[in-house]
Amino acid sequence: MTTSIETFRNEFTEGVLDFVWRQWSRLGVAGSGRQKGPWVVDPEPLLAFTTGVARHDSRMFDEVLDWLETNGQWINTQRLSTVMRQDDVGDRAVAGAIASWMTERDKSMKWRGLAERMVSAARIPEEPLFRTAMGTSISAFSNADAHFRRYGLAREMVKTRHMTQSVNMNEPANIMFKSRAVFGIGIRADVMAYMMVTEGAHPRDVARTLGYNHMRVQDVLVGLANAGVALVRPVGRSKQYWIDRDKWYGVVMGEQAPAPRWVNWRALTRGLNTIWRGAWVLDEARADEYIFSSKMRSVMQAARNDLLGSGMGFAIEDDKGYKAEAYLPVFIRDTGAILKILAAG
Amino acid sequence: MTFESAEEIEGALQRLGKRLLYEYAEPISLVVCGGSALNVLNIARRTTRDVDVLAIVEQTEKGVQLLYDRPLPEDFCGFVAEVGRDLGLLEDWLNMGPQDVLQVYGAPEGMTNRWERREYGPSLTVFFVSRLDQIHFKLLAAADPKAERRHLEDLVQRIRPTVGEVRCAVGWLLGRETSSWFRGNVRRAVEALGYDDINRNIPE
Repeated sequence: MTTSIETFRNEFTEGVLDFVWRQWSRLGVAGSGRQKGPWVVDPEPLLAFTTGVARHDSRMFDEVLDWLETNGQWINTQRLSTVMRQDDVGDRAVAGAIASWMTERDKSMKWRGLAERMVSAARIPEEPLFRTAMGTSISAFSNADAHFRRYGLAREMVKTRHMTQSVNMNEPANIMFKSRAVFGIGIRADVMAYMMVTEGAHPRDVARTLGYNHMRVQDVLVGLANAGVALVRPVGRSKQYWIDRDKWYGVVMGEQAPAPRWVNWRALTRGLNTIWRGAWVLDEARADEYIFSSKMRSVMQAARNDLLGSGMGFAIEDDKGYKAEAYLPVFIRDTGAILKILAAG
Repeated sequence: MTFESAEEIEGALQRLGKRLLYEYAEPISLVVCGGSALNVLNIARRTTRDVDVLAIVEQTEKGVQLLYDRPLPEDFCGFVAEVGRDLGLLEDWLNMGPQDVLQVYGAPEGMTNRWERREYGPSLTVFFVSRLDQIHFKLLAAADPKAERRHLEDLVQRIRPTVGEVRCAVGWLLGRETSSWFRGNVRRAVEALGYDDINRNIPE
């Protein structure tokens, strides 16, 4: 076998965790300094994805809790649970435990509601929250955290370092936060953020990209059009909404750095999550080169459209020309290239 | 979409065996005839699209049982499809196309003593029917007026059965109540093989 399952899994895990760390750093998480990036960070898909992958990095996990303690007000918990449910990304029990932990720090009802929605995902029997690099875990704690225990997840009491900074609203990549600060947390803010960095779209596409109800997005866009903020152009038999990006981006973000690139974070995290889960369910003691190749072919076929549609500029080779084990080096090459692109931002 | 050689057929079966083992699937034994069996047993060499399963085989204390009325398990078919996708084959490259044969005609006497057993890991065993039994099934297929010509071609050009083998196959085909239409079809197939002597013994 050219690349062992363990080697691939470790490299992919490390690359993805590194990428997730950098995104949180851009939002103010302490660690590797403030990072600037070329693309917009969409907080709910990022948080959803983190609830799954950060189980492999306890330091990252607790720094994200620290970030939520300072910046949790900007999270749209309704959208978070919609994204997690619709995209099957992340870990619902972990999200529930985090929400429960947040109820002690943020008295708004939104965390309570999320915590309640996720109770049904609690693990029975209880399992350790964190996994080591080899997938093993530690489960005995003298001071277990009650919020996590409620969701069947064993970990020691959470102790945050209070090192997180507030989200830098002037950073172009954080336009969704700035928009929420201006328009309030909800559909309108996210639709405006999307419109400020894209060429606009049909309401159904905007709704699908952001994870909101199509009719409610349509209502927002019609309202923006009535107010003269959004403009409408016919595309075929449908209407596409757009705004004067330069004007509105300048109003919201000020005259500064160029607008960041929009990345479809839902598609990106769905695609990465599919590969992540596929890699972690492989039994390396029993899978030979054929099984490894076959499983990764399935995984890439499932992730392909999401990764290509994410706007990250990934290139993924068609597997049809590579029979059986011959596909494995192609997969390793493609995922290596994906990690390289992720490492750039 | 086709198997070009015995190695490709066995490669597909080996991968299916690995897949079954990896997925903790129930071990399964199959009896296989047709082009794939001809290739694997080196009786004839030709391309084939699929692996024809006659029946699931159950080995009990009482001996071998052919479960020809039982379909392939659903999860097993899923693994077949996945191997097919990996190898660029049809999803149902392994199928029970000829399942009806044993239901209607029963197995030729001694078939289970003549077949060749091959194991593809602990979860997949395949019994390839012997040359003589292939002649039985091929003659039946060739006698069907609607059948593809490849069955007769297999007999005439590749298997080239002896008179004794054809006589044995005819005995199996007519060893039950048959219609004159069916006997006429058998006669025409035997005639195409050039064994007119045998035809004289087939009643009108």
